[in-house]
Amino acid sequence: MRQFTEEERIARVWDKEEAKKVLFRNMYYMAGNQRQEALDRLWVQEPAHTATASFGKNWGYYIGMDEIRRYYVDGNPFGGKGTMNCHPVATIRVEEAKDGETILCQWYNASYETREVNGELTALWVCEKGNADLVKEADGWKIWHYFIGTDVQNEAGVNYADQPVDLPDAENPVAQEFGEPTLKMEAYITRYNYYPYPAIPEPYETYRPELGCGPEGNPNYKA
Amino acid sequence: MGNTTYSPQQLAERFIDQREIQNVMGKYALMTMICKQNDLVEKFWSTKAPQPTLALNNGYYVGLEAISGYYQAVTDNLAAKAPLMKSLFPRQLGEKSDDEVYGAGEHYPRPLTSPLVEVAADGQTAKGLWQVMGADNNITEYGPLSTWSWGYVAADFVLEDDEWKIWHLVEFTELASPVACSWVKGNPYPVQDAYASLADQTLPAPTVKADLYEVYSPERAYTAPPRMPEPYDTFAETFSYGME
Repeated sequence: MRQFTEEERIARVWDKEEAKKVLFRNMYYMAGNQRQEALDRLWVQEPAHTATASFGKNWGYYIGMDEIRRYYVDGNPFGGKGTMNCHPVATIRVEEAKDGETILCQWYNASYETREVNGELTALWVCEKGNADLVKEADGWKIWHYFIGTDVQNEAGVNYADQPVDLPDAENPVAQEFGEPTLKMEAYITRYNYYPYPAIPEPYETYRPELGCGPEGNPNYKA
Repeated sequence: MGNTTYSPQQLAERFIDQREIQNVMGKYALMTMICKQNDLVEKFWSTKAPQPTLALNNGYYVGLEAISGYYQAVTDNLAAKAPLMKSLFPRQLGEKSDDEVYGAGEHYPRPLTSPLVEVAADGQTAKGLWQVMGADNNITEYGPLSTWSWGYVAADFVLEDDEWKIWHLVEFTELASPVACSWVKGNPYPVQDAYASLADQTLPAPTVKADLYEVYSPERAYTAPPRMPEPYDTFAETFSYGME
């Protein structure tokens, strides 16, 4: 097992603090409806990373920063009167690679949103498992891969048990918002609640796609 | 601004500062949950920094006297519920004194999430922002009621006698809506006669009234959280959560 000096250890402690701040800032940008600012400031900027950057949800992945912008900024459903959202970052865990180049993060959101659903302003609970792979660039830690596994989306004040089993995507406002991703696939399965992806971050030496939350780490991914 | 590089020793100290500041706000949130609002100013607020403020949605309480006055009124309102509670629940509370009944039926959890803390490079001040996933479980004019109370807390802190103290505190309620209801549709519960007098409870007006943050309604324009702290060197170089 690799041993670290005291200086390396405190640097790694600080790295993890900074990584958490990236995700907290992302949450505040999202709540503030400042999505472009989030992409500009918090996501990868170096060409070596931008082409493989990904934003995934249950229904697939947007890949590359242009595609991510197409979904996250151009398809933004928030901003109108009466809309709002908040996806608090809780129960966060972070693991830094031994080589200090990447950090794997996972958290949970018990989130609330108000958005138009079928033309009506609707209050929603949205419960999500979040993962991000952060990579070190010249000006700090950046989001490289980001994946939100939506476990529950349910209108506030309505019994979840009243929601149809296997809610069709056409009736699921989160699925509708996700639109047509670059790579459409079944990326997150909630039926049995034990889908192994994205994995809980564990100590690791160096980044490998199968450890992360990009599409190549997904067991359903076909090259 | 905020481009200072630090030695490992400094990084370790700054990590401790960030942790201490989170502890201050964690204790603060717990104290409100257990109805100890009256102790907040003495325990947590700076006594030396100029013009301390407490900002709520409707304005600023300026100075420790005004801030203490606000918390005293919260405490008095809680205490005033004791006779009503004893009359409504004689089997459980009838034999108790008013002091013993203080806080019965009240529970205000304020879980703080998404902590974003920046300590100044000079180590003398710090700024923090949290999201609050709170709930008010209390006795209201609608009867006993659980209400989601979500929002944001932000603060400027100052290092005072080696302790981090609150200088400016912002507590904005984003949403207040009964649980198990749609916040778009509003509060469906009618005022109950036995509890109606509680509608008369008031709090002191802010020292400076201002529409600082609008509580959610379907008519509200999109409203962002308070500004995020950014890395900074000295307080003079950054914004303030107090009155500017």
